[in-house]
Amino acid sequence: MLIFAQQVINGLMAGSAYSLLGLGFTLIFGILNVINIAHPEVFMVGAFLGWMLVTYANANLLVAIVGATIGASIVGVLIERIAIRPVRSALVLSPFISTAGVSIFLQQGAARVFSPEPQPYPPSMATVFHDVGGLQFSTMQVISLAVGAALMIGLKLFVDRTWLGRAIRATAMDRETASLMGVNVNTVVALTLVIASALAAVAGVLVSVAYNSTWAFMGITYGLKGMAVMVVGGVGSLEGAMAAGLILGVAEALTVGYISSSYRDGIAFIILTFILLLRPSGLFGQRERQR
Amino acid sequence: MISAYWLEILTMAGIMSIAALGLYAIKATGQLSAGHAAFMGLGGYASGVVTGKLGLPFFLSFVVAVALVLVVATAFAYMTSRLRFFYQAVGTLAFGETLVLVMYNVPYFGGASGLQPIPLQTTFTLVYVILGLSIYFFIRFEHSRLGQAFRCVWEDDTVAASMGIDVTKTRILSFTMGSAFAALAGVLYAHFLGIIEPKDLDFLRSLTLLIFVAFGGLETHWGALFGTYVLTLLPEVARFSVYDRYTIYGALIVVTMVFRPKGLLTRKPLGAPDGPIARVGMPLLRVLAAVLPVGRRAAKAKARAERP
Repeated sequence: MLIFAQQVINGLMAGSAYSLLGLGFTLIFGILNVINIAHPEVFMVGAFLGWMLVTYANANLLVAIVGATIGASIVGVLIERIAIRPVRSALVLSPFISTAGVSIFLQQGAARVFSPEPQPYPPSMATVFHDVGGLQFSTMQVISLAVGAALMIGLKLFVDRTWLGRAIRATAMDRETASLMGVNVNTVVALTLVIASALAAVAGVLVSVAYNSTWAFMGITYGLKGMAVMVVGGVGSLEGAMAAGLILGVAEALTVGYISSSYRDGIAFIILTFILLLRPSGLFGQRERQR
Repeated sequence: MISAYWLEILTMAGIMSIAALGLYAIKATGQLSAGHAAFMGLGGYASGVVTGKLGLPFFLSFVVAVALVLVVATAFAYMTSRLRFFYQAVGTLAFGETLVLVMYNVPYFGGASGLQPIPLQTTFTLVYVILGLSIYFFIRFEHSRLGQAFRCVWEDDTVAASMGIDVTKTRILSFTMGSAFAALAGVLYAHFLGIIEPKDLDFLRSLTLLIFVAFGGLETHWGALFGTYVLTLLPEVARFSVYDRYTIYGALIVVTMVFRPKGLLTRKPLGAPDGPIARVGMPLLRVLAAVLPVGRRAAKAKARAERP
C-alpha cells in the first residue's frame, strides 16, 4: 500500500508536466488545426532559459520560471509567424514538416550553443526530500504539482469565464465566423501561442529542476507523450488533456513500481493505441466531424 | 572511381529512397504515416531473424520480410481505416513506438543492443537494381487505373467515391503497398549495416522519411527520390561541425516549406505552359519577386489602390 501511494505521488508529479504539454498541443491544434511538432522544443527552450537564469544570474526558482515563460512565449509566437502561418493554407502535411524543421533547428542549435550532454543545476537547487509517514517526496514534487494544478485551474477559468477566453473558444469553433463577429483572429492566435508556450516553459523548468538535468533533446520523449495526452484526452478538450496527463503519469509510475522500468516510456503508446481503436474521440472529446 | 566512403553513402541514399518511395505511395492517397520507419524496421528485423538467427539464404529473407509486413500493414490499415490525417498520424506513431518497445524488451531480438550479427549481403549493385525496378514500377503505376484511382482519392475522396472507386479499399491498398516498399528497404538496410536496432524504428526516423518526401515534392515519386538524395548528400557535402550542419538542415526545411509548401518538385498544373523556361524560370522569377523590394512595393501599391 505504501509503495502504491508512493508511486501515485511520483506519477502525479510527472503527470502534471505531461498535462501542461498536452494542454499546449490541444490549444494550438484547437486554434490553428495544425499539429505543432516544434512545441516540445519550446518546452526545451524554456528549460534552458530557466537553467541559464539560475546558473549565470543566480536567480531563484520563481524568477527562473517567469523569465523562461517570457522567453519561451516569444519563441512560440515566432514559430507560429515563421513556420505555421505561411504554410497553413497549403497541404495538411506542410505545417507538420515545417514545424519539424523548426524542431530540428532548435534541438541542434541548443546542442551547438550549450552542449549535447545534459546540464546539471548548481547545488543551490538541490532537491530536499521529506518523509511523511513513510512516504518520500521532494519539495520540487510538491511545487510542481501545486504549480501545475494552479495553472490548469487558472487556464480553465480563463478560457471559460473571460471574454478573451470566449474569443479563443469562438476561434477554435470557426475561424471565419469568429472573425466576422469582430474577433481579431491574429491576436487570438498570438495569445494562444503565448499561453501554450508559457505552460510548456513552466513544465520545462520544473522537469529540468526535478530531474536535475537540462538537455537539448529533452523535448523528444516529452513531446511524444504530450501528443499522446492530447489524443487520449480528446483533441480540443482542456479537461481531457489535464486528466489524461495525470493518468499517464500515474500509469507510468505504477508500471515502474510493479512491472519493469523498461516499459515506462511505452505505456503512453499502449494507452494511445487502445484509445484510438476503441474511442478515437478521446476520453472527453466530442465526436469529431470527419476532417 | 568513387571512393568507398561515397559508395557507402550512395548505397544508404538508395536504400532510403526505396523507403521514401513507399512513403510516397501511402501519401499518394492522401494518407499520413508517422510510423513508416517502423514498417521498415519490422522488415529489417524479420529478415535479420531469417538470415542471422536461422541461417537461411538471403533471398528468402526478402520473401519472409515482405510477406510479414504485408500482413501486418494490411491488418493495421484495416483497423485504422476510420482514422484520418492527424489521427492516422498519431495512430501510426503509436504503432511505431509500441514496436520499438517490443524490440527493446524481447531478448530474442537483442534488446537495446539490437539484432546482430546479420550477414552483410547488401551491395551497391543490388540496391540500385531494386531502386531501378521500383522507379520503373512507379512510372508505370502512375498511369495505371489504380494509380489514377490513388490520385483521385487524394484530390477528393467524395468525387472518387461517386466515380465508383472504393475509397477505403484504395487507402488500405496504398498503405500496404507503401509498407511493402518499406520492408524491402528494411531488408537491404539490415543486411547493409549488419545490425538493426530498436531506434531504427522510432518516430524520429519516420519523421526523417516524411521530411525527405515533403521536401522533394509531395506530388510525384520524383519528389521523394529528389528529396532523399538532396537531404542525404547535403550534410555530407557541407563540411561543418555536426550540430551546425543539422541546424542549417532544419532551417533549410523550414524555408523550403514556407516558399514551396508542396515541396521542390511539383506537378505541372493542367494547362500551364511547359518546357524548361516555364518549369524552372517561373519559380525562380517568383522567388525573385518575393525577395526583391521592387516587386513587393508594386504589389503593395496595387493592393492599396484596389482597396475601396
